[in-house]
Amino acid sequence: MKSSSFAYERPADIQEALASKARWGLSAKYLAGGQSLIPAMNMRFNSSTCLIDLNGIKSMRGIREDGGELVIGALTRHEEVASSDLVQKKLPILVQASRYLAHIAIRNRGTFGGSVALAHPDAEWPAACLLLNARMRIAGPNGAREVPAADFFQGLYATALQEDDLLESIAIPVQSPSERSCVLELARRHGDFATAAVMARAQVENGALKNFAIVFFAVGDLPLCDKELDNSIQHIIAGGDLSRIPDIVKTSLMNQNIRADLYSDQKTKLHLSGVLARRAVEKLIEI
Amino acid sequence: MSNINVRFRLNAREVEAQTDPRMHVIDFLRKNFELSSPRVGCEHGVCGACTLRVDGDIVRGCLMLAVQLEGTSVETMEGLNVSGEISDLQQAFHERNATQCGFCTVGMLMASQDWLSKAKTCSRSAIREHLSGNYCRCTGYEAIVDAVYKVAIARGISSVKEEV
Amino acid sequence: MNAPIKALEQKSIEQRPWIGASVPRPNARRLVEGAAVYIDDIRLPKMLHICFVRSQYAHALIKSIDTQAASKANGVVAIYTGADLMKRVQPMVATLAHFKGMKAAAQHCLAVDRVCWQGEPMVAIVANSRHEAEDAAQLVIVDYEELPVVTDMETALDENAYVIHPELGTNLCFERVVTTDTYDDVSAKADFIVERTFRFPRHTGVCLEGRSVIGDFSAPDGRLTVYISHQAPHMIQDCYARLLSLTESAVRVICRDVGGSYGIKTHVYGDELATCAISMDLGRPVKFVADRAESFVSDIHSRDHRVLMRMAVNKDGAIKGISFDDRLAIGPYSVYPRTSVVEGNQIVNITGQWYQHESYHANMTNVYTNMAVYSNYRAVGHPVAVGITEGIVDVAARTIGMDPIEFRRKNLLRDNNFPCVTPSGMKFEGMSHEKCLDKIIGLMDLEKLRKEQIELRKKKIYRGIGVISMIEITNPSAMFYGVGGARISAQDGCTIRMEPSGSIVVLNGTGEQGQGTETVFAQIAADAVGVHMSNVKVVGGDTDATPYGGGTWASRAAGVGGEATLQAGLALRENILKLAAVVLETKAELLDIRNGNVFDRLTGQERTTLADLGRIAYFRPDTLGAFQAELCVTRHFVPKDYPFTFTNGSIACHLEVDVETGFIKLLKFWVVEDCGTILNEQLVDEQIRGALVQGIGPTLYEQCLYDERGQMLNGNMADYIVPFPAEMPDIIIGHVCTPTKSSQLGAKGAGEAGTAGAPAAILNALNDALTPFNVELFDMPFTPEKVLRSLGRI
Repeated sequence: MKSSSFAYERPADIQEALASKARWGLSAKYLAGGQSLIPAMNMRFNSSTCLIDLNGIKSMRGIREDGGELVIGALTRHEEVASSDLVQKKLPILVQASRYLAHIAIRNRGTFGGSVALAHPDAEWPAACLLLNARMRIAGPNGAREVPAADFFQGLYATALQEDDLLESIAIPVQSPSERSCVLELARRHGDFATAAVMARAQVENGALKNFAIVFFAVGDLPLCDKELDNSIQHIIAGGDLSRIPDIVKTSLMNQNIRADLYSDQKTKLHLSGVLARRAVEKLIEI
Repeated sequence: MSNINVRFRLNAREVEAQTDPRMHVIDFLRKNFELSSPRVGCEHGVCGACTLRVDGDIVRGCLMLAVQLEGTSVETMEGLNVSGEISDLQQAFHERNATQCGFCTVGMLMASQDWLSKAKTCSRSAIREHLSGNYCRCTGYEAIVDAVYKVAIARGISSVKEEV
Repeated sequence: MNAPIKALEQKSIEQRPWIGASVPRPNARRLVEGAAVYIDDIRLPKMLHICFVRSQYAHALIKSIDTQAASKANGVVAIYTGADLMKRVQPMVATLAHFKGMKAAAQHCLAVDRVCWQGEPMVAIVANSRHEAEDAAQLVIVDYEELPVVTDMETALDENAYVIHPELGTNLCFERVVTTDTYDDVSAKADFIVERTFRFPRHTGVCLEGRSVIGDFSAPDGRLTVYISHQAPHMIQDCYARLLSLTESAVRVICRDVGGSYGIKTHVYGDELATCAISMDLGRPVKFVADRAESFVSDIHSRDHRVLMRMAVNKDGAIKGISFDDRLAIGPYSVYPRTSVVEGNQIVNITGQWYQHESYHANMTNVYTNMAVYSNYRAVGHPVAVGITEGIVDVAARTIGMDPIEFRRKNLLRDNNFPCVTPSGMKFEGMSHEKCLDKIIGLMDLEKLRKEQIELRKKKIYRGIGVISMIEITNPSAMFYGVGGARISAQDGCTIRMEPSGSIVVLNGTGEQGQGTETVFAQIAADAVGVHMSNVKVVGGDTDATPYGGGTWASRAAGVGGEATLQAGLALRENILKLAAVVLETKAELLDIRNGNVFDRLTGQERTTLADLGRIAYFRPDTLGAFQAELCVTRHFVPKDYPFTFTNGSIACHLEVDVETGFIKLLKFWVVEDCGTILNEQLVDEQIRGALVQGIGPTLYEQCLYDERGQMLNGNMADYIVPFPAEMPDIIIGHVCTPTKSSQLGAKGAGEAGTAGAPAAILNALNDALTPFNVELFDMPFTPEKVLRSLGRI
């Protein structure tokens, strides 16, 4: 399981990185954390003519607050996000999610942007970005652009990133102090990709939950959410009979592309999603 | 592909070597520096046998390229043996038989020390959770948890009640 | 002379400090310092590296292999196909005479003309580095013609089934029926017959250190040195010599630290054998280390059973009969030299035999398929035998409305009723089922757990308790392999010598892979001779250095290797005392040895030291008159009284089922194990724990998943699920001690019992948890989906 050969470049800034990619073309790949790319290369599922190592680009690292948003540099490590006081204060759901995210050795190298750009269907950050209405800031040969999460994640490992694009940072509106959020994952082993998972948030007004929103991940090709479903669940929350939640979740998700895996078929994924949604609501209520 | 020069600190010594870019850190350290404590178990980042320290953080050596070590500080068990940083932990592992075939042991010790150096409180379940990225097939894990817990208490980390 | 033996027997445990003490392992210090030496750590001058091109198909003809481009790749020194190696390597046919009617096809070390499983090695690329070998491997072009694939054990013996080996005429490898001929009568008269179908998944060992070998052939010497990660060096010496047409003494096998083995590393593998053949051809050392991807498809797989299990029982709880039909799927070849039928054979021998029953009918069918090759893996057959027995016992108890503990108490073999011969023909020397059951109930406070279970059910929390009884084969005699013609030794030998300084060297070929054999041998030797354990050095893992041995398997190291060590140590003590008698001008019977000093037994006075005796024997023999000191002795041991030495025990599992998600949480385990004399309790307990967690694996998580084309779907560490720390429980352990009389030590084996009993304990606990829902599960692994399906939630 040794990787095939490749050239290696280590650009100092984004412009250099884009230029390297343009020079090497299709078969060159950006190297961020390497926690997904390098195993694929070790197994020879992937080969590259050149790996362009982004880890030297300081401008792509770090978390800063900017007018009601946190801007997370794409090269920020998972563990930097997980242990950041700023994130704990302003986007606590990211810290909640990080508890399920692989293991510390992986989190020390893997990057927020790398995970978003790969868009693994079971990954935490893409789901969080969708729920939090994040905007992806992309640098490309034709300049910079921003893509909202709902448009960014398009299919299985498919995103709005074009071949020569570079995801530079992710801007995320902060969670309000009156908000509650939770992350629930069902995984066979701690740190594994989940069998089914949800992230949910709601505002609290006068002790009641409002504006409930939920994202389902690890059950489809990409993280799944639906405004109508959010409203229906909000309605049920107001009504009080939470036992109705699993059925409406299953009905809603059945229209989406639910992906079976080696150990769970679609029915199982739908069922677990329903249970997790109800448990997420129970958790938000009890917090 | 042509080799690239890498300069870094290895177990507190400045070193330099040439490497094919495709070499991962474990193969690089084993081949160029004849270290035997860095090991591969799976080369896909799951088993944890390759765990070592780069710039003070534990990482999967099999998922990092040797060329990425440029300017970093790398610590392997060879270095920890000299500094004595985990001699209490090594002794606890030895006495409690928390090592059988030994193949997971280096990674397990690295991960354990990483937790011990940051933990404010300790419980068996917290230890199990933190070591959940390290595979052992011989011990069934309990002896390892016993050894780490014992060291945690000895180092003054206060114990908290287990979640049942 | 009996005096030294009497001296040992007279000593109380305070005077016999080492046997029974939980001393840490001296040879484990290097492990915690990262200084272990595994095969991959060995670098030899001019060493080359090998990588194999492996079959992509489960069954195909090899039309052609084009190695042109590969041979020109950077760093490539040589390339070999199966046809090339046929000149050097004999084919392997793994049958044994005592498995009557068994059929097996010849297997070449690298596939010739045809590949029979996905992962079968076909072409060997030898290069300056593994990287370069893998680069070249990608350039090899193989033209395959796919053949029909056999993967379903249920249809593999049908009339119209495709036969994998035409020369065998069938996909049947082996079948065996054992019957007392009374089952049908008895069951007809019984009040109830309970019947269930159990499934045990195909799974594999996942040793953290991949299989590794260096073949180092020296042409001028005509000698092949094999450095190998293995459990049975003498077996490898014998097999490789015959398969490579070398004399036995031309082959030396060296084992260093072994990074996990569990039976996976007791076999002959074609790729390892090919590596050595290639070294012979090139006259240079060649190294092969199996990486994780190839390990999943080339290490032996095991288990893979469908068993229809029946028990005839009366309403008063008496078991009248046990019968089962076991079908299992092996790979396309019987694995050399132990065969692929031992698993099924053991199940026929031992299922249910720890219960009183009049009639027994066992039917086992072992079927060839095009999945990975298959053979013995930790606890061989026992997880199935114990699983189906204990599973059906709980079903029977539920059916007649009897408490499962009471049911066991009624039917288990009585502690005071040994020795006995069972309906299947097993000879039991002595067991303690009743004592173990009583002890485990106390340890776990079963009553408290039951009360809590009832209370929690009211809150819709569903916990379950499973308590099982079991037996385990250990310390096998030559009945295991030798009688069938296998050149696998049931005996072990130990050479012990005293050095001039008075220190002791123990040479023992049994082997160490982390379970602690070297430590236990040092403890035994220290007590046998009378020295401090720190003065004992143990040498193993080298066929040039040690007496001929059998290796570690079937939990034999402590009982067999240990006994040889004891006898050698006692014989050395005798010889030392003879020397001392001459030096001190007294009688040997009046002397004894303690802590390296020779003392007068009557007065307690220390008379001399072993160091001084050593000096005299080796450097001043001129002072000894006609006397010749013999300070190096060898003794051998093989169990003779019983074909196998059975241990017994009880295991209990406490778990909780989340009935909404199907996820199972293991809360705790208890084990009460009777393995006879305990030589080092910490080491025994850690074997039990490790074995138990290894048994949890396939019960809840592990399965080699195959599609109908014989492609393994989950051959990587992310998709093949092995237990990691967070989900594993703590395990409380107690002991009962029924020593075996077939050795002086009285030690039985302990390495596999946990693996044998864990599936049964979990199965019963799961079904106990689900009794309010009236559902049962018997299809392992118990995934969340299966639990949900059984509950009707999906």
